[in-house]
Amino acid sequence: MTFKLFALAGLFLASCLAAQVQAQGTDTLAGKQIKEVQITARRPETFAPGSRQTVIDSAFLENNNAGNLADILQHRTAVYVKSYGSGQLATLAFRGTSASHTAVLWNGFNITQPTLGQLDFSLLPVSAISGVQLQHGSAGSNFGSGAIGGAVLLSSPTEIQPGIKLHVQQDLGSFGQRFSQVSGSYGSRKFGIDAAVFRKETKNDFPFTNTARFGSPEERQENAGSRQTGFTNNLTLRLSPKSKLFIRNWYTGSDVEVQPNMASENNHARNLNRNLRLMSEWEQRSGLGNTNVRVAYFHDFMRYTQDGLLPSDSKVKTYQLQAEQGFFFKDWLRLNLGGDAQLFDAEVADYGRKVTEKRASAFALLRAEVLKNLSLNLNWRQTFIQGFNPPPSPAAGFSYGLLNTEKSALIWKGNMSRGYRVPTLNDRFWPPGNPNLHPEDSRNYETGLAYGFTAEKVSFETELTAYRMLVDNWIQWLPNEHNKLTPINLKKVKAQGFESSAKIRYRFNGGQLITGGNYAYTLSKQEQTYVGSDELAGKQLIYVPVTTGTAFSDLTYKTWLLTLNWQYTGYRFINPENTRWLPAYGLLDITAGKTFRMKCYQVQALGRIHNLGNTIYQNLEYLAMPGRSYSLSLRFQFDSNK
Amino acid sequence: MKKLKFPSLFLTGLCLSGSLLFSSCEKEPKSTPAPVAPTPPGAKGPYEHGVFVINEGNTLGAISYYNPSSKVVRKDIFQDENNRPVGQFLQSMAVHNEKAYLVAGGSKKLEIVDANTFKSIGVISGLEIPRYFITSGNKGYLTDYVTYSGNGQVNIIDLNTNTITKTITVGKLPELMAIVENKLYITNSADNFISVINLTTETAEAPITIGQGPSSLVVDANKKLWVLCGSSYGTDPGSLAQVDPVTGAVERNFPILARSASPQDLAINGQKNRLYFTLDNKIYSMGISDAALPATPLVDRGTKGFYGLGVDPQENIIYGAYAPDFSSEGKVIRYNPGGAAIDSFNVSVGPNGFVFK
Repeated sequence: MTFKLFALAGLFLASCLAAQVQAQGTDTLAGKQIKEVQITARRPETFAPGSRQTVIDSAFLENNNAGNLADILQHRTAVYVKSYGSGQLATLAFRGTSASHTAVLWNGFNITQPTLGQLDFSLLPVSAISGVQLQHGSAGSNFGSGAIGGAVLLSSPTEIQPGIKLHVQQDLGSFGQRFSQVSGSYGSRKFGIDAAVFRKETKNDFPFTNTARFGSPEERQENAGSRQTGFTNNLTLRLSPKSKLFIRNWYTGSDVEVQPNMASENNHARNLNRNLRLMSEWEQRSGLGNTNVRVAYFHDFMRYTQDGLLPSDSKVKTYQLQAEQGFFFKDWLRLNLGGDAQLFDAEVADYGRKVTEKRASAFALLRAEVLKNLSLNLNWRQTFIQGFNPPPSPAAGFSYGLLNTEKSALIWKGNMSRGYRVPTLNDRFWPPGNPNLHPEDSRNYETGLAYGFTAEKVSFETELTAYRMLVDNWIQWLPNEHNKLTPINLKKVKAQGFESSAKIRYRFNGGQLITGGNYAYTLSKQEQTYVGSDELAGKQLIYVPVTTGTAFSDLTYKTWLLTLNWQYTGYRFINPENTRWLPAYGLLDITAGKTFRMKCYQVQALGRIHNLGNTIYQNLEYLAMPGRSYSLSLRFQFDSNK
Repeated sequence: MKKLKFPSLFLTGLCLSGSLLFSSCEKEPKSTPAPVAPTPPGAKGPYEHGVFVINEGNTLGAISYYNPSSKVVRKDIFQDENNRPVGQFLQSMAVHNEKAYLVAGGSKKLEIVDANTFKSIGVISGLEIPRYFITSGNKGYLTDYVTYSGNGQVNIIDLNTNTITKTITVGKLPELMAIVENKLYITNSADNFISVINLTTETAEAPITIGQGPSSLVVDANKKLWVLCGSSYGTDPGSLAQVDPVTGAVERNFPILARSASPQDLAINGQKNRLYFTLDNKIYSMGISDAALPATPLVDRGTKGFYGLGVDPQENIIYGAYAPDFSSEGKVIRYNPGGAAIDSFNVSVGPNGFVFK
């Protein structure tokens, strides 16, 4: 039945394609001027003008392509990254919520693991992504289930890179770090293709003092290495001046040893992941508006092994279909209507049976520029699931220009939105399960001021946002009356705080200096608990630092580059009673580089020192973290355009 | 110029408020150093007498100490005395010869402390999945799952040298043990028999076949074994059986049919004539010569259950351990012998059992 649906969708896509290819032929023959098709990926600023967004600088992504996304976000945002070590599990939580309250979308598709409801950011290779954008706060109407605390939007290039490019890179670092990558791209006017293969590994056998053992012995970390190989490939076809087809493929295979904490013995725990992500997208611009149709197929395989345990396998196939039509009614009024469908096909050993689940949703997004300096938006989404339906998730926001001059602008923003999270497949199907589970439901209120100033040599931007969020029906696993762990809608959480950021850019002869920082103040407390919990109300949630901050500085001068990154994580309570906590810490990283150019060839060398101060810290209780470490990156590039 | 004034003001304001908040908000809570537990006059240490609560923890376990006369609770005495955690997934504790033996399964070790001061004395590491410890003379016996699927073993430990001198293979998922007349009886929670080891020859003898999933056992005043079957690893209905350790005969067997959960935590009073166990959020009690299982429970907690059970051998006060989840603190509820709640106190995370000293 559902298979048919997807087959139909495929057929539909194929027929549209055929029509387009013909149309394209006529266009070219007529020799018409071809106008660049705009990027049609729906950008959050269009339909969420009142909420906070963070864009990660693409140059920073490029320079740090050997790392994983967790490292990048830790360096450039104040969002809390809960990292279990170098190359180990890392999750992201916005605004005092939990890791499963972060939606992660890759070119519009949610890629969080449907079984766990969260994503391990350490498995996301930076080299597979060309753009990273963060949307703070609930945004169920824009991004669907899981966008309670916020959403991370990962994108691939949408423009064809002309000519031939080749990139070869080798990195070496302390504790057995290695990264090798070969990538290339070719682009003509109508066709673009790029592909990359990479391999990454680390032994991560750093020395540390084991303060959890008798006599605090000096030890070397065991069982903390990781290996990952990956392949990415993007294909762009310009079918006509007004339409494009994208095909994007991504495969990663990871083998991560699970680092034991200082108090536990090495039980050789390992996590094996194989993730295949395929998608294609067709976009068409017409007088009516943009049309987008996307299909995707994901295959996520996970195997956990440990001494004394039989391997536990989880295999999930996800089929997704999305369609969206934009309408430009007037210059000032835009409406997007769309829908999506998902089918999960899960084989998880512990479920004891094969499980499939279908979900669908419909949405409407409206934006109106009612005055020259006032934008309003109104969004709505409803998701449908077998057995139960989440609440509708509306959003309403505004962006008002208080000041708008040639050089500076001051904008006042505000947003009210609702988010939801459908229980994960584990929540729903892990025996004994809870048939009465409701979706989580959040209400987010925020307001902020954004200010930008641009002059000839100096530009400056800053934003301050205050928010309050209520997350109800928060799901947590508790032992039931038979001492079996079962998910229940346990509590209501109130999170409030503010986020601020500032960035200044100074251009001078031969280079520029960019310096900036992010800061977040987060109070996230349990308001009320329902059945079964003896947790105290009014206490800060565990592993939610009250303060987090980053500061950075990027200096480029001629062929030189110098980058400083400082990150600060405030104390985090580690028990719900708030009587135990891990102390705050700050880490400084420094990168220096030099580029040699010769016509179309380029060689770049980058040297890095991580944790310059050799700070001893713990992100999780008694989990050792590496001290100072070094790495070196050599990159060779060929670009036929130069 | 006029236009520039507002932005610069705004900027200054932002920077000021930002830096103020940054410095003022980041006040870490004051770390109160654990007060040194007082040693009563004439005592060998602060923990000479009292109730010890074993807390599994979510990652790191803890031993909580409760003084029934002063009602003072100390939630993590190993950490207090040794400035390090006792280990991951603390399973059990045994006291022998003024020493306490603490079995930390996730850390694959047996920590040894002075039972009166809780100062660390030594450690036996390199175990697999150790569970429970029992002693006799200069020997200690430790059950170890080894794996979750295959046979487990009993490690025989020389308590003078703290080394493993012999290992004997037993059934699957071995748990609690009892010693009667120089023989060791071991419950195998994923099998249907009790393993028997002759402590003189240190060899296995013929096992005693019993109901599926025996997980706890006690010895009564008549030197009979009482075995509670139907552990969470089994699927059969549970049972409570009386076994003659000499002949290996199951003399009496009480099936527990009407159950949706596993009967757990068989305990016995100081006089060794009354049994206690938990089932479906209730505590049941039964005299050793009663003709049938009790029809009504001694304690019924409704929707909240027990994760551990103990009976004070002096006053027959019943201690029920409640683990609401594995992140918040657990709770101990005390009941008088008639089943009426006396009081309760919070301990550490995941309390699963008690040692009375």
